[in-house]
Amino acid sequence: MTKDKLIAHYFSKTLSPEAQKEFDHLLATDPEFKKTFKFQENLKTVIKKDTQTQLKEELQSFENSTKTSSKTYIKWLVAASIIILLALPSFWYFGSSSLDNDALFANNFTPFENVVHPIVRGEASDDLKSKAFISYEAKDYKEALNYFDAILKESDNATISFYKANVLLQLNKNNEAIKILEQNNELPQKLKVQQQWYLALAYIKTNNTKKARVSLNTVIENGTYKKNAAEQLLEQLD
Amino acid sequence: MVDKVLVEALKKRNSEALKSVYLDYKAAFIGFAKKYPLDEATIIDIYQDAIIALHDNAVDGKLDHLKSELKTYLFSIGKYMIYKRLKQQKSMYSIDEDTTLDSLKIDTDYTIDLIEDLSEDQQKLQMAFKSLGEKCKAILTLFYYRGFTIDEITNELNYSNKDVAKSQKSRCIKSLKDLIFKP
Repeated sequence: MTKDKLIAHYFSKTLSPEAQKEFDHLLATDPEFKKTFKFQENLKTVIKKDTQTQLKEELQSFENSTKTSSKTYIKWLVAASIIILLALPSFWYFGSSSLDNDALFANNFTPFENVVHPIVRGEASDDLKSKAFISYEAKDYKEALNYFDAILKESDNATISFYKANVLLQLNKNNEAIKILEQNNELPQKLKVQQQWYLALAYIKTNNTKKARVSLNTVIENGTYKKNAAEQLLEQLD
Repeated sequence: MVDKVLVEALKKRNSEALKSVYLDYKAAFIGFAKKYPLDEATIIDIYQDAIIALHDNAVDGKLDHLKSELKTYLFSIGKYMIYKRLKQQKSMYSIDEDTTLDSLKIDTDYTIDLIEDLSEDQQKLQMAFKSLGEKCKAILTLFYYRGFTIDEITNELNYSNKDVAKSQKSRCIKSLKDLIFKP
């Protein structure tokens, strides 16, 4: 059997015991064979990783779609269309790049979900943090902003600041959001990559493509969150 | 019986099947995982990873002769992942000796191969793979990830004959190597 055929049978799991022996022997003694095989084995790992990332994103999308009912979905769709229609005249006025960046932002931005303070219906929820996140989850961002500000007045809290920046982006107060996101260094490790993602979106919104690229690359390097989306976005920026 | 149909559909990367498996067992899994010191976001994250492992094992043919129910199998994977996660957080929660993990793995016949970090070579390969055309991605995915033979690929992708599929695959590998090794 040729070496190529041996490797092909390995990947389709159709090596006979005899061929398996030959395969093992070559792997141990023939550096060229080992190199060829290693390359293909790496390729398998890469494709598997790619599929796993796609699956994870797909599963996360089931999560999001079960959370928002179809009715609110339509409501948002209508709202989004109106925003796009309203934005069209400014597109003619400012030229294409501004619309492009706005569109990129709109396509990619959804406020980060509340993962730090679960809201349970029926439980007492008088404290500021609960009130803040109830408003946040209800998409009442102005109200949420008031509560977040009140919490931050009492003491600094990087996680709350991160959510505040999300609200600011939602309310189109982009420069304020950027100021927070750029300096919010005390954030728990697991939210840091999320912060870079939102920072990238904020830069895109304010047409700071150069800085957006840097943040997107940080997200891609990290690889655990929105990697594919960041790669796509990076391509679209070019 | 129904499980068999689901496994076949998962192998074919059927989105509806994936969604149905995911949603059908989700509530039960969350209920089951609640007895461990984990918040709901973490439980859902683990559940998603368990579904991915289940999917990969289906593709690998490991579920073709499944003796237990799909749900039992999924929960075994999930339980293993919960222990693993708790072990990583050991500084916070004390859990039984390491042996819990090992015995669990031997008891059940499955492997979990979620790829976390790629080596430097693999990262280069990943960039190159992403820039290939859809045709190449399809043929290489069938061959390496799903373990199709050239004959099966010829059928699946409607190539006129085996040799066409074979040379297409070689061309794709060559493009990959060109992308990586030529500046």
